[in-house]
Amino acid sequence: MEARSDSYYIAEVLKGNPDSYAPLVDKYKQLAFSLSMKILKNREDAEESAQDAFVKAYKSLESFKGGATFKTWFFRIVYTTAISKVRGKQKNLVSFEDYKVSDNELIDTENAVGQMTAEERSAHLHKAMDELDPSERAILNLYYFEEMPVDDIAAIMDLTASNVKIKLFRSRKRLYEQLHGLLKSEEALA
Amino acid sequence: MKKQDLLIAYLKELPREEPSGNFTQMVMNRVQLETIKSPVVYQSLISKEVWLKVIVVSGLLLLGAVILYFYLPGGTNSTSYLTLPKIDFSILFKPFLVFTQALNKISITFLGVLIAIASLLLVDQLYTRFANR
Repeated sequence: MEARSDSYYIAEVLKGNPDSYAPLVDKYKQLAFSLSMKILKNREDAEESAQDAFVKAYKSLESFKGGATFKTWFFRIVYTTAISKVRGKQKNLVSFEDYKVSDNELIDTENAVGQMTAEERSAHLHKAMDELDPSERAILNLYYFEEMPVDDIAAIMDLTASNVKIKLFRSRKRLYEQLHGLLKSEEALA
Repeated sequence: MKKQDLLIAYLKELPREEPSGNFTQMVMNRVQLETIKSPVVYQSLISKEVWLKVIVVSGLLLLGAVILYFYLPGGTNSTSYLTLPKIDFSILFKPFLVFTQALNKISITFLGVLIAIASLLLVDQLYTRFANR
């Protein structure tokens, strides 16, 4: 089937053809689920949150003016839906210890991670990512996984571009710190 | 390779999370439900646009009547029954006096029309509110 632009499907939905929403769901479901999963850390919650976001976007499609791209507009809905869900569960979250490490320790950590097998590295990175704040996980996901430009991330997260850069730097550093802590606790156990 | 490039490479190695196979179907089921349960919209008897026009015209007519009142001979003469020997309280009541005198100048028919429009507006608002419950 010929792939059409987002605006074509949006116009069709607004004309009263709800089935035209399905190609948009197909196109963005993976990204929406991936971002929700990074924020919520739970498959069921992420799936529900991503579905909620699609329904919310459908219901407010008339308010989409086309100033931003549909992708950016929709991802703002995905982000706010998942963040509000995670805030609702905040009281159940366990707060983890923050590891403050020196630059040398960060280099050691990087080397240690580099020497791991792909599977080990994946498991460690997942664990370290899980220790970050939801917004830190979201920003790393949008920038590194989805390769979104800083301006789009700023629109999604309601931040300025310079705030996004600062937050990216801090999130990356925190990820290294968490990796370091993880490796240190494994060494202690060994 | 720089530290940042390494981190990017490591992060990109992570497997992508995929939603369940029937994700699109689940969303579309909910979308269909939303489409079906879209609420019945009760419309008022007279549209907002018409009401706006009626209000603007009535306002202009009323304003015209008040302005005309001041241009009519003897129109601004106010009674002095509210004047005390030392303090003139009539200044406090002047706006009301002007208003009631302006109303006196307006014909009974015009007042009747105004009251009828206001009543219709009230009935329409009440009907819309109850119908949408």
